[in-house]
Amino acid sequence: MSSYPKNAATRANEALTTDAQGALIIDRVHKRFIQSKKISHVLRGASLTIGKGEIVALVGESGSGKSTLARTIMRLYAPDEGQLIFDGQDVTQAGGRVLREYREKVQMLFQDPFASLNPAHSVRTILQRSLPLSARRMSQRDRDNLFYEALMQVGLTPPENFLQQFPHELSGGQRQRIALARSLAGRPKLVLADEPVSMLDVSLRLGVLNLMLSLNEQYGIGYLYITHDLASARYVATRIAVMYAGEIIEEGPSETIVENALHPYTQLLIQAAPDPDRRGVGELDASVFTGEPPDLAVKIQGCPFQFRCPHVQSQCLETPPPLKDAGNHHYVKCVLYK
Amino acid sequence: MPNEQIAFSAEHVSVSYPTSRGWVQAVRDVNLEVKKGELVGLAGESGSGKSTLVLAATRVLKAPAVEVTGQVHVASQEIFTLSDKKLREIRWNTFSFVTQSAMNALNPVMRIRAQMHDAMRAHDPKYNKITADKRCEEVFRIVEVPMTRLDAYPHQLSGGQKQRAVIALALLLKPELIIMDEPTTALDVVAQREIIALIRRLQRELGFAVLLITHDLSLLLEVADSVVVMYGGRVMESGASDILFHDAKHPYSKALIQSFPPLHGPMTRQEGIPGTPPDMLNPPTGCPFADRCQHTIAVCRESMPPLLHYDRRLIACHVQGTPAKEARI
Repeated sequence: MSSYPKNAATRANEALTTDAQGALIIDRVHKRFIQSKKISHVLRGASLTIGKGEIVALVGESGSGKSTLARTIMRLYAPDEGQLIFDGQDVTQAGGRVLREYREKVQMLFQDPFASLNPAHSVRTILQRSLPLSARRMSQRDRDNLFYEALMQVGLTPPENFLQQFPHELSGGQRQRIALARSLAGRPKLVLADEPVSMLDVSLRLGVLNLMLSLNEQYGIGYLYITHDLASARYVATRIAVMYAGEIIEEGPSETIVENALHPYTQLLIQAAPDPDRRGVGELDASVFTGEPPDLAVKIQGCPFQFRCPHVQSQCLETPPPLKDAGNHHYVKCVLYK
Repeated sequence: MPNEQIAFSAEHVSVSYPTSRGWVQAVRDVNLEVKKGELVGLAGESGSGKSTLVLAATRVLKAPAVEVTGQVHVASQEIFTLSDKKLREIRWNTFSFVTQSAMNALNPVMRIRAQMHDAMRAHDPKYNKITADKRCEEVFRIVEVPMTRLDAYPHQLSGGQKQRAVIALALLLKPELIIMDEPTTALDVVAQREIIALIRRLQRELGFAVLLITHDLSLLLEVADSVVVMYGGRVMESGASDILFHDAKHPYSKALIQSFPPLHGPMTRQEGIPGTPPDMLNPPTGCPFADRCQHTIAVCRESMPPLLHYDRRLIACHVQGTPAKEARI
């Protein structure tokens, strides 16, 4: 991706935080998978910066590469191209001790609390497994105190009742809190939350989101909140990044993205989101919703959204649109914006 | 209660499941009505009994797996007293079903066309191979799926196409009512919006009624004509969706609406609903929401509030003022 006016990560960094300390910089990351002899370009130069203690939402439809990006950040997948820089340190190729320390500071919260907790282990064992190696030499009492603290942080009180329990004894909301407590036990700086509430009951979702917010306020834990629900993205995040076909096509402050989206895809997402306020204002317009995400196994020339875009122009078919600065930390990759 | 204008009605329906630990009273004394051509939304969190209600009401669940009491009418026919033969005749002809996780509702080793032929042969013997083929093509045109996909296997279809194929299947015998259980939950926002827009358009053109079950209350409030909110196996509040959205009265429906952050407008810290739903093995004698409600008074724990008529809606809550008139049923 030679189309960047300058290193996207540096740009976002200058704009938002004066110090790169504690920030995660994802710079033009590519990830390819080989599926039945075909190469799928799942991440196509994704760039994003998450400042220290910042909450950024990553929005996009399924197959856009949101989860792959999170897994690549965790280094569960090795990026094929690009750089990952955390707290000023390049961790793209890191291994051994550096990688271990990185994974202590950057944790992941998975979508399905019914699958992410081992059913054969008690809550104590589950939490214990997440402790940094340095903490393994602690006495059992110190460790239990640490667990109590983590359980209290996620609102599971009294904590001593929960340590002995097994996942099947807990409700979905409680399980997701355990999963969050597990990610907190190593005192992370950043949690990658991959659709953390979509498997939970509606009445419990806000509880978990509010918990994430209060942990952010109290301990300065940053989040990458991955979702396809724009309303909840606006609720928790200060910034929203919209992903399409493996790249970030628009990013900016949450309010700007929802109220003043520049990219046609973001506008489509906003139109598609349920909104009771819109009732009676306009009938559902089926004609604007056409097409499906592009086949990532085929090399895309030009803009990845060209196949669905109502405003497609000849230049969209040839060259990928450059990233443009729309002011106020709002960036968009679309030729429509001059 | 034969009424020409009603496509579906449930009266005093209760459903219990026998388990090794006793009877789970999943649905208790529910009344519900869908008028012809309407889209009625049935909302509630998991375990509120919404799926159980429609599965039992259509006799998909039957004794001894469940115990069902009450009455259900679909297009003026009482469902529970029908013979099996008669039931088979009205299924798909009068009402059809789009099941939960419709994505997996199609048989993976049969072509779509064969599955559609099966449904037609089972419920309407007058179709032969040629007329059935014609009808298959018609419904595929209606749901805007390329005709070539008729001879595809389900795995060759995209998620949105599969969902459309399941809707096409439900439309085959021109039913008056389609019951849809979480038809869009597995889909993306954009695909979900396409499907809902399609359902609304087909309803306008073909005139069938829809009973749409979902937990996504914000979607229902936007697209449904009226909404029924269930909790703990009971109806808490029901009414036209604009009334419910702007002026929900029941503390549970209010809290449920508050559980969805708004897409636009000022942002405030919202609270979810603390606590967990009641254990339906030993359901509380009083209001099922009493333990999680902020307005609970003594009587809430003693008796279940009846579902009463208020101005243009039904509410079951002790804390509400005087009802507009006496209970409807």
